[in-house]
Amino acid sequence: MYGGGNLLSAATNAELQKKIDALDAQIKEIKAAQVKSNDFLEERVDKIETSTMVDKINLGLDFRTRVDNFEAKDASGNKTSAKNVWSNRLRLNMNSDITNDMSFTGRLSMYKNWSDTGANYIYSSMDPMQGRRPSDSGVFVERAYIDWTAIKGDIPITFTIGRQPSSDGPSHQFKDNTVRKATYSALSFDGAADGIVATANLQKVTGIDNMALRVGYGKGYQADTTYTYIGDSGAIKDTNVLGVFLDSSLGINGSLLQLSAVQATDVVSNTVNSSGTSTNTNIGDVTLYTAMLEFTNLANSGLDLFAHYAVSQSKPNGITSNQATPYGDYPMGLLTNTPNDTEQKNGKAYWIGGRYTMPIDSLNNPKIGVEYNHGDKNWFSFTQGSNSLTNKLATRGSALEIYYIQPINRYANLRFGAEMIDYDYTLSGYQIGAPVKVSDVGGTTLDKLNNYYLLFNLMY
Amino acid sequence: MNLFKSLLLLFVAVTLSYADGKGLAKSLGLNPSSKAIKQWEMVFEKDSKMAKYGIDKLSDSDKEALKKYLTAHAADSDHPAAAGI
Repeated sequence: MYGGGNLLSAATNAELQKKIDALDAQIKEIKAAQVKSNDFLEERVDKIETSTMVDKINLGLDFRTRVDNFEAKDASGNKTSAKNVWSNRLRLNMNSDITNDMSFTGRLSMYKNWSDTGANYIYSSMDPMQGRRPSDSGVFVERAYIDWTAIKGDIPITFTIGRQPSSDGPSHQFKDNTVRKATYSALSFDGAADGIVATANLQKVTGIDNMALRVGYGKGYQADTTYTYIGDSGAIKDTNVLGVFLDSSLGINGSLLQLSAVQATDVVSNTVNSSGTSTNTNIGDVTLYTAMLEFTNLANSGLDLFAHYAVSQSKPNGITSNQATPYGDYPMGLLTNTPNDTEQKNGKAYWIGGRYTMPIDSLNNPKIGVEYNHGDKNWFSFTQGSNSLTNKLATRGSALEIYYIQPINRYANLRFGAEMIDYDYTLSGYQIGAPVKVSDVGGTTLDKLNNYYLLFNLMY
Repeated sequence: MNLFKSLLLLFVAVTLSYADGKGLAKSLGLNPSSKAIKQWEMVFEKDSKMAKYGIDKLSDSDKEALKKYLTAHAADSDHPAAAGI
C-alpha cells in the first residue's frame, strides 16, 4: 500500500509540476504581452503629450449671422425704416497656459454687414468699437492680454496686461446665452480697451466665493503725433482712466455683486467742424459709480435675474469746440453747449432684467428673457463700443427688449428679439452737447427706435 | 415687513434645500476641468465608470445635477472671462 501510495504521489507531483510549468509559461506570455501593451500605450500617450505641448494656443469659434429690421420715428411723427439688414460676425478666441502663473487670452474679430466694404456706423473705426461694430471684412484684435499672478500667498495678485476683457460684460451673458465675458458692468463700460488691471483675489482670506478687489488703469485717448514721438502739436492731454472694482458672491451659487468707481480725466470732444478740420480738445472729467447684482440659475429654478444702477458725474472744464451739425457749427463741451460752463451734470441710469430657461427637454430647453433700462437727462456712460447697434444702455429715456432663445444643440442657437427704445432727451451716448428734451427740439430728432431681429449664433 | 421676512426666509430655505452639482462634485473629489464634455458624458453612460467615481450611489436627480455641473465646467466648456480669472 505504502509503495502504491508513493507511486500515486509521484504521479500527482509530476502532474502538478506540469501544471506549474504551464502556468509559468502562461505568466511569461502575459508579462511579455503586457510589456508590449505598455510600450504601445506609452507611445500613444507620448504622441498626445507632444501634441498638447506643441499646440501652444487653443482656439475657439464664435460665429453669428443676424438680420435686423429697424423702424424709427422722429419728433414730428415721421417714420423711416431700414429693414432686412444682414450682418456676419466672426470671433476667433484664443487662450494659452504659458506657465502655472501666466496665461494668454486673445480674440480676433470680424463684423460686417453683408456685401459692405467700409465702416457703416459713425465712429465705428474708433478704438473701442473696432471689431464690435459692422465695418469691412478686416480682422481686428479685440482682446489680447496676459494674466500674470506675480504675487502669491493668501492674497494672490494677478496683473492683467494688454487689450482687456472689457466688452460684453455682465449681464449681457444672459441674452448672449453664454457665461460672464468681461470684468465690468455693461451699463457703465462696454468696448475694447487697452490697460493694466491688478486683481487681488480675496477668496482665501475672506472665504467668500469670487471676492476680488481690482484696480484698473487705461487710456481713453493718447496724444501722439504722426511725425514724431516728441510731444503733440495739438497739446491735447491724454484721457486717463482709473477705476476701482469690488466683486463678491453673496453666498448663493451663481450670484455676483459688483461695486465700482471709475474716473476718466481730460475726456476729449472728438469734434470736427464743417470744413472737416478736427477741433478735438479736452472738455472735462467724468466719474461713474456703479452697483450691480445678478443671480444665475437662482436656486436651480432656471431663473436668472439682474439689476444694475449707475450714477454719472460729468464735470465740464468750460472749454467747447465746434462740431459740424446739419444746422452749422455748434460749440460743444462736456454735456453743454455753453462756453465757460463748469457746472457738474449728474446723471443716473438703471438696467434690470431676467431670463427663464424652460424645462422642456424635447425643445432643448428654450429661454425667454426681458430687459429694461432707463437713463435720465444727463446720463453718460462708456458704452460706445457696445456690440448692440443701438447702444441701448446709453439711452436718455427708456428701452425695453424681449427675446426668445431656441437652442439647436449644445453650441448653436437661434434668437428672436424685439428692442424698443423711447428717447426722452437728445444725444444719447454722446459726451458732447447739452441734452435737450426731444419734444422741445421737434423736427427730425430721433424719438423712437425699434429693432426686430433674428440671429443664428454658434460658440464652439 | 412680516411679508418681506417670510419671503426672505422662503428664499433662503428654497436655496439651501437644493442639492447642487458643485457641492456633489466637491464631495466626490471631482474636478470638472479634468475632462472634456464628451468624456464626462461617457462616464455617465456606464455603471462601471460611475462606480469608479462613486457616482453610482447618487439618486437620479443628483446624478443629473452633477452631470450638468461637470459638463458645464468641463475643460472645453464655455469659460467665464474677466481680468484676473
